[in-house]
Amino acid sequence: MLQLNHKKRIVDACYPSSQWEALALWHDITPVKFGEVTDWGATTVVLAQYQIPEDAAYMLILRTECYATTFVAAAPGFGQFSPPPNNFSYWQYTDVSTATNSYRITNRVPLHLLGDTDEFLFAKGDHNLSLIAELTGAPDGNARVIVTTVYAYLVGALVAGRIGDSESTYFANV
Amino acid sequence: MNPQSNILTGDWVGAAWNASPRLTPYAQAIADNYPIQIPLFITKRVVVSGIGSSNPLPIVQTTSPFLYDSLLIGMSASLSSEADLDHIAIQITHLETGIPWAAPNSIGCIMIGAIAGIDINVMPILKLPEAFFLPARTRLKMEWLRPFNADTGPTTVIYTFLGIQLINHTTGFQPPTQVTMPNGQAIKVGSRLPWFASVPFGRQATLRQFGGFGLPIGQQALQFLPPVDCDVEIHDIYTNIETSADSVPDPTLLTTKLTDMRSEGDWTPGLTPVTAVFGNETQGYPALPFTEPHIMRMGHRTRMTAQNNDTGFGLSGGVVTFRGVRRCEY
Repeated sequence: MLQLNHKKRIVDACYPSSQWEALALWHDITPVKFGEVTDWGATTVVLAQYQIPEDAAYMLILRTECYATTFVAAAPGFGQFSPPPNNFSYWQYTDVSTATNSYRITNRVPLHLLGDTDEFLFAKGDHNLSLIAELTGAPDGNARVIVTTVYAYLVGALVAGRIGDSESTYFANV
Repeated sequence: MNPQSNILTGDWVGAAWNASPRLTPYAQAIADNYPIQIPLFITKRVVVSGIGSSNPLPIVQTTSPFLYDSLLIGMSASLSSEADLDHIAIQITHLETGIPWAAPNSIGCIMIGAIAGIDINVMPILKLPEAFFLPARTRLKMEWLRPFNADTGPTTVIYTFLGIQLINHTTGFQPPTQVTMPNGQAIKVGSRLPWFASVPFGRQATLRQFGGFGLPIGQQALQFLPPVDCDVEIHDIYTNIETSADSVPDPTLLTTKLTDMRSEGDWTPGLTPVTAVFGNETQGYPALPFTEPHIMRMGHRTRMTAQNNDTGFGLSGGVVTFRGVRRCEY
């Protein structure tokens, strides 16, 4: 339902002038869902990653869900949803390396701003796109994981051109 | 009496391909302007290097300018190493117009098995999706590449364009600039060009290197054909994924789905084994035809879903080449 709703809203946002045009726009959108189960450790990790096909032509990310949990039966919080850790994150092209800062497409902000939120972010085709988190250690010695799901849409240039630019994120660090 | 049932006496010799002269309507319409038509073979030899850790530069050749107009209809090739069949590719450009045959994406070339029949295989000659009219005194440029960084080679390729010399000695004769198709439509000569688009069956590795295409066990990847500035008739599809090698996934467990973006309706409701959609050089017809040519409209992109259901093998270096006719007016 979420994806159908997203597709409908993308088409509506293009303000098609006819039903024929709306149908063409509708069929120019490919929903993609991706994400990882990442071990929670004191390191920089990839929470979600997708290689956008060369002639995709753009990826529009509209929703990201992220939670932490543990599947160790004796651990505190076993099987319970917890919010993502209060660490920093950013979206980045990782064609060369996860450590190459110059390819970030967002700024470095707390994880809640990117990891569990509605999103409006465009990425270009022919790139390896990753949501990176700079984690500090888990609260205890139990194995804990961070689960991330991204709802995104491969859209043609026609759609991308109609609905415009990505949103901006801001973190004042007050 | 059906003339094809006559014993061939030399009065009329049927073409070997499909047992009768079956030029495409476009080619036939061009050929009709020439009273003398003689088979043509243009053979060249190239050595494609490839050993080393870096991708070698392309090797460029041209055909010699020819006295007569000609129609190029098919191509054949023999390789010194059949193992290199999956690694060698070609880009062909008509020098005078500058129009390339392979669609401009990151692969940007045609796998050799997608354009030429290979001498040791069932079909040693492969027809082009459309005959190419090569005007007299003009040349084709061939760029030979090894787009995937395989530590093999050098490989010697002997290749032949097969066609027809078109001769008209009538004083003042000029080659046709437009021809009439069976539906009565007049189109310009040169407005139907062979078109090839190669896309990987899978995706590149995480840290991206050109040519590192693969589809690991259990994974799915999407690829798109590049949009074209005019309509394209897609006729058939070739892949270099071999069905007989042991080190590749079971082809019936490699599945695919084709979708014409911006158009209503998928071609298939679900994923289909690649053996039903793609041909390869080990089969009777290496480029498996569709049930009917598909028109990819200007600006549309065809999406290919690739999925590996094999639990034992990942796929490496799989490339799919779509073959068709680019219908541009220039």
